[in-house]
Amino acid sequence: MFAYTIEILRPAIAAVLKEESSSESFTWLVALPVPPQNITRDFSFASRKFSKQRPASSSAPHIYLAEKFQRTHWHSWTILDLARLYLLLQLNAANEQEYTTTIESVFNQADLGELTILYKALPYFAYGKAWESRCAEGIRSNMGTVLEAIMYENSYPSVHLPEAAWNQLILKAIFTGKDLGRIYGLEERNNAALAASLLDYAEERLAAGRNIDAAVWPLTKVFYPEKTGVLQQRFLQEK
Amino acid sequence: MCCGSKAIENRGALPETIDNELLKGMLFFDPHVHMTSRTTDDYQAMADAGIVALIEPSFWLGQPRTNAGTFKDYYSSLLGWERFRSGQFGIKHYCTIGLNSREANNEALAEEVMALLPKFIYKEGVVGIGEIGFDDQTTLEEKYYRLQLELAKEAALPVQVHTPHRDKKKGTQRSMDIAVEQGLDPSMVIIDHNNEETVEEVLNRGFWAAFTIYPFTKMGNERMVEIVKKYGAERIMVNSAADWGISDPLAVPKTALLMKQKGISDAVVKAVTYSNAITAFGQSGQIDTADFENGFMINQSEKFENNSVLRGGQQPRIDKSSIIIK
Ligand SMILES: [Zn+2]
Repeated sequence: MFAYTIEILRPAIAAVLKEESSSESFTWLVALPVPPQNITRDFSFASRKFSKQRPASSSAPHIYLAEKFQRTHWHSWTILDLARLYLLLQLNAANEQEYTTTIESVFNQADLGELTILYKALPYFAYGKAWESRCAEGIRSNMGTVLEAIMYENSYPSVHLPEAAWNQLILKAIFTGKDLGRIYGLEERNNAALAASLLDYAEERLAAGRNIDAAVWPLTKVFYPEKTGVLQQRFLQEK
Repeated sequence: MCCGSKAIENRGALPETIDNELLKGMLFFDPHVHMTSRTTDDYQAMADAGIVALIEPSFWLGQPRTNAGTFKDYYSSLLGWERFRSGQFGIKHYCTIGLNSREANNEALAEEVMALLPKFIYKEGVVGIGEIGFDDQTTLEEKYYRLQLELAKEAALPVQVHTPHRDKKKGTQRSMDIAVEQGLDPSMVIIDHNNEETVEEVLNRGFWAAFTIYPFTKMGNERMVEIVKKYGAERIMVNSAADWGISDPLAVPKTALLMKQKGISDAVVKAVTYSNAITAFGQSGQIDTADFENGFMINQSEKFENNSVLRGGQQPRIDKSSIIIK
């Protein structure tokens, strides 16, 4: 069901929250029924209880969390993000259909901050395979914050996305000026179709007299070393 | 041939233009503007003129909405896409959520929309229930106005009340009577689209009085100057209500400039174009002035380790005066 040990993650997040929020807010969160009866409302309401600041990364609970779950860049999570993840982890995952329908309904009426954390939380949902189309949908978004939530330090896409969706993610990242260095799985998921699309894109940029992110060359070089060399040269001459 | 070119010749003859020097250091809060209907040029111009935050009330979108799903998506887009779009220009985006009076006249639809509202009003940055009230002043409009006042009371949120264009004075009185009957504290109610005929009673009864500076159909800003001279700044605020009609998203800064030119004190100008709106809608608990009082929106959650600051307003600029587009 879960691809990690939820019994470790849940208390680890609770420990950070206990440290970082008022006792009134923390009590509100842990006193909610399990599983949550009104997740969409509580998910929104959490913004009235928890801060949008980042937790102190030097505290013992935060260090523990970061050590146990290294694939997530917890430094970029706010206290509110953590509280919302905690709520999601309390959902009953026994029935896949019910579980995914519930989370989809939260997605479907989410505000900007909520959408961002929902996508950041993808690696921690049960039934990993079930979120492929949701993740692909997020990549179609034009909200930069949503794109970054999926692209940066998120282990979901490289593990689960089929090739076509993965390639869309990389192309969109380059197209929207994202930092490729923060995307997991660049090398492992690299493929000939992606390299060909990137070369086409490079030629388009060249024709338009615009520059291109040099991070594309290592990806194209693997499959098309000669063409990559020629294009790199032409970009240098244009400068 | 004739009319088109003539209109172009006349463009240069505007009587007063915005003096950007005078605007320097002034911050504005537009508590009523429908950005969904506006372009990125408007956002850029608003940011340049010192608008640091705004409230987008939910309203009649100007297009058919025949099922509740379109309302759900509209509320989601105010809270998601439009909030993001605004942030790109460094402007903090808030909204009010409600079923507007015009669409309250379809009872079956209104029932479904009422069922949706509780899912949206507790979201971050929702500073009130709005804009609600009367349009044709029908019984159905009254029914949903009352139900939404009830909802506002329950959620402890301010209410943004649209007053009708036709039969305005009576409609405004009735809106206030009903709010009091429903047990709302007038200090939680912002009565919008006031004019010379309505303002006195609104203020006397303890409500907030908002004025919409909107060419041809609502208030002009020269009239607004006279109102502020007569009534002062207490519980008065100015907005643009800019939408898909001929309207002006710079109405708030323009009115501030005109007030300054006409000798109104800086403190009064600030109250009616910035701080009163924050006080009124801040009763929602959803406005943190630290997010924008430095002159641009700071996304608190993008602060790294709580100290380095990322700012909005990082959109690339195009050179409008050049015919070359790169
Ligand atoms: Zn309006």
